[in-house]
Amino acid sequence: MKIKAKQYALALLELLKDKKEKEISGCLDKFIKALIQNNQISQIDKILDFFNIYWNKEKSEIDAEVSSVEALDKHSLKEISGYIQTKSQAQKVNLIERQDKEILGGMVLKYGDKILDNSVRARLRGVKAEMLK
Amino acid sequence: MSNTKDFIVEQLKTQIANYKSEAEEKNFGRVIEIGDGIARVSGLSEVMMSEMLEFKTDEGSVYGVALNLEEDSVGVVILGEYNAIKEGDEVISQKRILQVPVGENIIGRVVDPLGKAKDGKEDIRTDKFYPIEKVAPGVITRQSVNQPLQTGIKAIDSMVPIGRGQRELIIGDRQIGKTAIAIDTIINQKGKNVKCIYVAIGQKESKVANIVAKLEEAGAMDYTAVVLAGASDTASLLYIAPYAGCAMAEYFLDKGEDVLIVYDDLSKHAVAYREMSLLLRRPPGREAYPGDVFYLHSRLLERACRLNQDYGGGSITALPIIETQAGDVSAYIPTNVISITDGQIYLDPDMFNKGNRPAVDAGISVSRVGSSAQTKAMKKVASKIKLEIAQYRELAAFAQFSSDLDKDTKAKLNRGARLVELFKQTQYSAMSVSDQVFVFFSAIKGLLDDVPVEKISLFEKDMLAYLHDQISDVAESIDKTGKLEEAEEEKIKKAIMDFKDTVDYLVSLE
Repeated sequence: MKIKAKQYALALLELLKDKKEKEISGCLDKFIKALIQNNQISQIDKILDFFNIYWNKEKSEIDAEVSSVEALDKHSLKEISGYIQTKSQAQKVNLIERQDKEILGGMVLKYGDKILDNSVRARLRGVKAEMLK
Repeated sequence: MSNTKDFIVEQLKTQIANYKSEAEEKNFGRVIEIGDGIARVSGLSEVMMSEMLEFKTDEGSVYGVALNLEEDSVGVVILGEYNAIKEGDEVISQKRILQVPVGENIIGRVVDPLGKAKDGKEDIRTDKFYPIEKVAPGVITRQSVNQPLQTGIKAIDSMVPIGRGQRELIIGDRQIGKTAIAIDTIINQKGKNVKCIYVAIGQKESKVANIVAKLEEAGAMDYTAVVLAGASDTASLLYIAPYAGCAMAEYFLDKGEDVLIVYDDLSKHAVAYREMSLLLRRPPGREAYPGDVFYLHSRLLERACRLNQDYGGGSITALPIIETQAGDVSAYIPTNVISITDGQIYLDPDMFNKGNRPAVDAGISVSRVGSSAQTKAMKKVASKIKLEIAQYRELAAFAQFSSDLDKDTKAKLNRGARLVELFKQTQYSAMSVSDQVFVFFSAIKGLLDDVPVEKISLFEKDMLAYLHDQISDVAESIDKTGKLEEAEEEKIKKAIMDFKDTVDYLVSLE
């Protein structure tokens, strides 16, 4: 039976779980060799995608992204991280900052598969829809 | 002048002030794969079945419906243009099931399945929305069919009567007059307090334009709405069209009104659903249709109903249309829909070619519940008609081979030939109940037996004109009460005899 990308990702996670950093590179070598042997090295992108998801789940980490017009100060970033932590119950938040002039103001917050659009652009659209009714 | 301007500015200000914005947390995902109107989307962990999804593209928002909820992706069909969507585009869930605008405003209009105007008139403004998928009314809310829905077509009203709340299938080959029956029925609902919805699924837009023009000409657009998913629309729009039409009908049902809905036609609907299902990689079954193609039509047609007085007493009568290939009623979709509906009107190509139009085949066509809704007067005259037509058919096939027949058989053949002639009716010439009763009464009482077959239609026309002149009170009472008393029968008989004295083409009976 053909092994699926998801199964590879799970196997890799199991393999690396309690390993020290030194051992990891050896494990990865073997893993890649096994992939080549099974003729499935082309699946590597998919495997990495799944690995990312499972790793985050295992370590209770969450990827997040915040867009604003101007760079946010440290205090706000901390508050945002805290909000995401309480909402998603993750231990650690990998927060990425982005500057986006198109949103006009406010901020757009994305974490996991949630989106919180509190930008001026979205609010203006809301006003437009309301007035056209 | 400046006062008006100030007023407008003030109004705008208050409107903006009244607008309260609230940032709401929503699910989002990204497009993994897009093609043929189907998108595969990652993320969206809390998405619902048939939920609306907004695709953010460079050229504005496009909407889709979630149809396949899989382990780590969601299969979405896109409603409308999908060329602007790219891989990696953001998809945001709307937290609401697909719904369409409903209300009085759609009457007289041509709309697409999402409720947008298609007739070039102003936008449709309603404040009510109904979900397109709704569970059909349950047993407690229902009542059996007890009120007739007159089609104005002699062959149908007498032999396969339709009641309000019934589902009667119209089935036959292409170009045989299926749509004509439906359109005649819609036109005949004028002044009968029935709202009509015509759902065109995969029809040529030129044909729909013709139909709308005809309906307008007949004044039928005052109570009719047309839902159009044309041949050039995507399969997803064709798929939702009948459900959207039914949702619009349910608005009137909830108000306690009677609605007639025509689905033209469900074979194209099934083909559109097959296209979508195959693209969504659902496994194909018989004739490559997916496994749930029966449920596709049964859940739609179950929504036709007659509610009892406690629940408003409204009704939805459904006239689904199915196109067969070379008269094959045993194909997959025709058998499915035949088994779901309360009877079918089968249109026979041989009869059509012989000039017997509408080509309703009296043998295969049935109405399982309609006879309980027939008016008493019609029942009195029509029950004999069906029997005589059936006997005629049997004898006609048999009599082809023998030359000398006994008197009884000859009489039956004579009568039958005249009945067949009576059932001929041109398009857009609906007949009132009283007229139909007069005509059938004359036939079963043997008053037509001495009229030559080729003169029947002329005789019928002149006789009705004469009867309207002489005994209009009887016609009125039949139309009003639906009953035919014995005294009235005598009156009709006498009037017809009087009329026969004025014509000179009668033949003598041996």
